[in-house]
Amino acid sequence: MNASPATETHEFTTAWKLVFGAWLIASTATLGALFFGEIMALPPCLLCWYQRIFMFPLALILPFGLAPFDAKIVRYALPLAIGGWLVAVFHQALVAGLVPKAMEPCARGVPCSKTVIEMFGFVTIPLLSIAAFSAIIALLVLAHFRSAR
Amino acid sequence: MKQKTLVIATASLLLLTFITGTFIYKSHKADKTAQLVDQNKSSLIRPHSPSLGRDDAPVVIVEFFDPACGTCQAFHPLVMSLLESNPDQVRLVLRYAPFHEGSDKIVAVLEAARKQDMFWEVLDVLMDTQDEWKPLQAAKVALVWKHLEGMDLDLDQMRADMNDPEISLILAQDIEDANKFNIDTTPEFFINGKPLPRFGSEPLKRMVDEAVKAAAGAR
Repeated sequence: MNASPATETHEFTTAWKLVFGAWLIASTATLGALFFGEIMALPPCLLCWYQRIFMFPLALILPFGLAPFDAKIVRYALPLAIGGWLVAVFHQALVAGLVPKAMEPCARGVPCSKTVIEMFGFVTIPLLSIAAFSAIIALLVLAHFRSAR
Repeated sequence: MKQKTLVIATASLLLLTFITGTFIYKSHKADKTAQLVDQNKSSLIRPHSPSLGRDDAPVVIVEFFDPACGTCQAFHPLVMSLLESNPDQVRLVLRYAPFHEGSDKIVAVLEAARKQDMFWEVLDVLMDTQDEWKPLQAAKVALVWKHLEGMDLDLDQMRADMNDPEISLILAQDIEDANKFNIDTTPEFFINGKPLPRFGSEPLKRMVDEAVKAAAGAR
């Protein structure tokens, strides 16, 4: 009888560090979104909510794949990261005016096309979201190939 | 170090950063509001603002208020009890911040009642019946009137007075002042020109009590 499944390890392998990095980004993004929404009282627009739906669970499930390390976590986390990335790209396209107005799903409430925060002249919330989801996807994919070897 | 230890330590560190950031942001914001009030003292209380209590009361509560706001309704009994328990020391000044849909019409009802010297009586009734005239988060002035029947009011006169252009001017001025102080939520309280250090009924009670005590000591 196996003591533990073959995918689990207790060492700080490269794959572990990659997933750990993805979790750091996801939890920072989650707390950052909560800070904007709950502390600075900026109401999230509709597309922001969809991105939150993909980001918040990542912050919660990734640590369960870290202790002990379970390479299968990539399989469960990657679809969330890709889903969030797609919404973030659509959001950025909307802000940049690449998506026709008729397709905008959030005319009521807070418009998604409105830029609420701009740091250093170009860093907006949807851009931060794309960056976070892209980095998480890259780290998880790398972790997958690392642990497959 | 074990994997689990590192994960838990990191999570704690992130949460600690979040909590610290929250405190820094909140105190920074309160400082900024206090500074804005200092720079625009005349914008905090306008001659047109409804006021309850002695004009020379040493403690002045300014409340930015939305008649359709549920939290303002919840604070109403507390604010009134603060006035009742310190009748000569505390004065209340109301400023309008009608953020809810239809709130401006309710403000017009209050202002029309003021012309008949019934402002505070009507305010009490409106606060008691808010749930009934505010279905689905939007204030419906048509649902207000039945709650005002039986009071010593000329309702037809009130309906006419609601259209007084003076009321729109008062509203416009109050909204401009609320924007000046970056007020985006109601109620927002200022005790002798100072914002609450933290939102809540306890901080409000404590700050008023302390101001009353300080005023008594100064005499």
